[in-house]
Amino acid sequence: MSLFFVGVGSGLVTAAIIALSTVGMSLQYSVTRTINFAHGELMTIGAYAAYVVARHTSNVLLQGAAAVAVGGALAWAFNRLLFRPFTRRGAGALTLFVLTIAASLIVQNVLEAIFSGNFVNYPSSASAAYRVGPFRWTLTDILTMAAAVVALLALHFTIRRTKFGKAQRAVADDMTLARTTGVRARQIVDLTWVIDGGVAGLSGMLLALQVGSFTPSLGFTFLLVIFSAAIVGGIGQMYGAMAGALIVGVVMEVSAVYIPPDYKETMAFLILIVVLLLRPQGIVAALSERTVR
Amino acid sequence: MCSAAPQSDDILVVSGLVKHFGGIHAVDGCDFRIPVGSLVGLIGPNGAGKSTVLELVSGSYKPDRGTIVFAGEEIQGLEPNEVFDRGIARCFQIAREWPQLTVLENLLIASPVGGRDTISFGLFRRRRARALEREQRERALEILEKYRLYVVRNEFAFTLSGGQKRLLEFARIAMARPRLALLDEPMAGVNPVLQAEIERGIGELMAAGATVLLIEHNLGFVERLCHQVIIMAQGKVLAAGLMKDLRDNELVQEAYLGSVPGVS
Amino acid sequence: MINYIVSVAIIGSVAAIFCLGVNVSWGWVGQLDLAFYAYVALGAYFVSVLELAPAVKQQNLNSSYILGLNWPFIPAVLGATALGAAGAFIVGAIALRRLRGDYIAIITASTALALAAVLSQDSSLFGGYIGLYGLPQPFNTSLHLGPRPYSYFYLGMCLVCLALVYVILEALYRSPFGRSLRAIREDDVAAAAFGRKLYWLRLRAYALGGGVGAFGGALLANYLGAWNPSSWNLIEVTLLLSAVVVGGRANSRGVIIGAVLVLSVIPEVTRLVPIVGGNADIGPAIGNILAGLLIVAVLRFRPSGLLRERRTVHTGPAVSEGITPQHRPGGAQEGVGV
Repeated sequence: MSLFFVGVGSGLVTAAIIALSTVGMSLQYSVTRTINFAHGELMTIGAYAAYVVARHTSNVLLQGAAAVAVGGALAWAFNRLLFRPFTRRGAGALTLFVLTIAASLIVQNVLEAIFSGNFVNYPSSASAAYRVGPFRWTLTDILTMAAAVVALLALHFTIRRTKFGKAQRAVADDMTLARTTGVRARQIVDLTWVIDGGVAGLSGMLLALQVGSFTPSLGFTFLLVIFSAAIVGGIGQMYGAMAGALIVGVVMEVSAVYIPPDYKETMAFLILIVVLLLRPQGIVAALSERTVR
Repeated sequence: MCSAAPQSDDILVVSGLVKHFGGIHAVDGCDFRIPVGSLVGLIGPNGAGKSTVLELVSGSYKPDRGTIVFAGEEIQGLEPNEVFDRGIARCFQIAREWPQLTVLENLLIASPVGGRDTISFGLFRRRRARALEREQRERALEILEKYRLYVVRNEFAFTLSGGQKRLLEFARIAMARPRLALLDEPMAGVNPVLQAEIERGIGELMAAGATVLLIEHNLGFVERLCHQVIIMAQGKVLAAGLMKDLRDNELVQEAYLGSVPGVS
Repeated sequence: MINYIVSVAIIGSVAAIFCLGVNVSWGWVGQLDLAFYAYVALGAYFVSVLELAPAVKQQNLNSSYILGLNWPFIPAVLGATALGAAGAFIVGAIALRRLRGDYIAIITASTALALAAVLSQDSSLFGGYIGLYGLPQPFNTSLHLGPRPYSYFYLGMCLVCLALVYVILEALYRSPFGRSLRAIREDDVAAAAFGRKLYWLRLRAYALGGGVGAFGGALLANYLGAWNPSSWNLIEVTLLLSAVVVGGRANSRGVIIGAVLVLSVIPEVTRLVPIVGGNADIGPAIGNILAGLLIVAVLRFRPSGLLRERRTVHTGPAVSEGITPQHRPGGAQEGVGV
């Protein structure tokens, strides 16, 4: 039984990482209505940025800052170099998909050209695991969860309380309508992208910390888990993304206690399929349907 | 309101149809009958629910309550392709041609496919497939000729002008040889010359045996051509009958004009 | 030198078959099949386990596998194709239920990622880390050709297979099946309004594409003589997609040109890139970057690809001559019959 709780504890850590990335993707989806297949690369580039900084200083905050900054920068580039020029010319959803796939190809291979395809080790001091109630966490784990909680709280506050947040929700709801009330939709979209890149970059660094060594395909292979969490929570729903991340993360880690841990990702895939078959709109959408009726 | 009992020669009988979209009661208890072989106009102010009724009959929406009986069979809840298989074809308010297909192909698709679009048919029944294709093609070319679209038969449909696309919509329905044709504002924004063509097209449809239900705002046209008129407002049928009889109906006047002339 | 060209040509023709398969879903129906390479892998895998002799369990290596039926080449390839199509059918049955483009993309992408994750495990289903090897050379037990002539033979065989796939797919493209698929691509609401069963048509197209992919995978596996789990890389799908986008979707010849360009020319050219900074991956990486940039450029400047979709043109009198006499302008004269 104690192993079960250890699994739950690991699940919370994994959920923290997933949540950051999925929330970022949800925010971006809510204003662009397009799945960004290069989302994983936002994580990967954050991981590599933090890695480069980590080679020179062991200040975790600086590493994190690098991850956030570079992730945000790449997301900004996606928006300005890819999305905006093409949507301005009336590109359809499918074309945008293919473009994000191309972007993923390019970014992954740029990283591969720079860092090679070999595994790089994220320099961090190995730390012992502490007993916290029924859970067992290392300092890194606690740091990860803390970082995620802080970032998500900041996002929650921003979306709910600030003018930007209100404008963002308006744009996500109905861009044309929002424009008529004076909302600068384009700026909102720009900023949303940067936020997406920032949190995704941070989650990439945290993921790298967890796995220890990684390659340029880090974020890409993690996409499966992100998609699962996003679908479970309802695409484009920020709080749904958090709920989805929690479910997927905990289920993955707890299952790893009972079946060979190599099949963790298959669990995420199974959750995705089950949800798609039973409740494709996701949890949050399902809940809000109930209250309307 | 139609008070007579349903006749056995009514091709479409709609009873108690209800469709809400959240708080909007688009259709709120609608009943009407359409006799076989007639040309029936469905009129009413904007927002009366006319288009929604068409969508419900054609299967694009499923009603919350009520029944739609077509030629004796209940069809509410069926998918659009099942509705088409039973002989109901529709025209869209904004022309929905298949842009990257040629005009001829647009027509070829419109005829009921009857299970011929499988892989095995495409590969193995070569001779039969070719014979059927030839028949379809000849019929399609005849129809294109009638609508003066023959010259553009090999062009991609997106190259057509707005008026030509309208005609293509009609040609498609003609090709489908439906028993019931649902036309959604075929005259909207159309110049008089084209209007004459479309009138002719409707006549052709009926000559081929179709019953036609059309939504139209052009009351002159409705009065001239329709055998019967159904008036809807706020999701319900107000009255049905001959246009000249309905002109004096107070409910109708109020619905359309907002007031009844002669009453202060 | 000749050997090199022949092997590039073989890989190129197999890649062309892959692209024709991607084209069925992407070009004809407009649905993005990101799981395509999974079906290629399935085809390669099944042809291996069908052709090999039953597994010999070795002590320390987890190198056993399922089946092992020792089938000859042609039945094994047909079996692999059918099983690949079946796999595609299963995935498609789930993915296509919702008919929303982004859901389809997510499910197919997730399938591919999940398969990649499963394949990277050490499992006795597919010969552990070593994979499957020792596939017999097709037909060579009767032909007894040396290595050089055999590679010409294999090239010839691949070209014949490519021609076969091309002819079959062209026939289907022109058939009512292909036409219905294209109507769905252009406007599925209108297609349904005219009687097309959307789900089943999409599913059949999806399974067909998967089958073609599996067929190509089987050919590839027999050429390499082996199947290795780690060589099934997700990025390959992106390259296939770029080949179809560049060459021109829905145009079979364009697709083949795109395949040659993206999957043969670019990798071979980037072989010449010097190894900078001890990074051996830089050549292929630059090739992939080029492919990605090519996609963006094509979509920006020539979205329909190098070769546009061809119109099926009906020949016949340029202007109709009184097919229906009563409609000749001016009224009542009898027209000249056609």
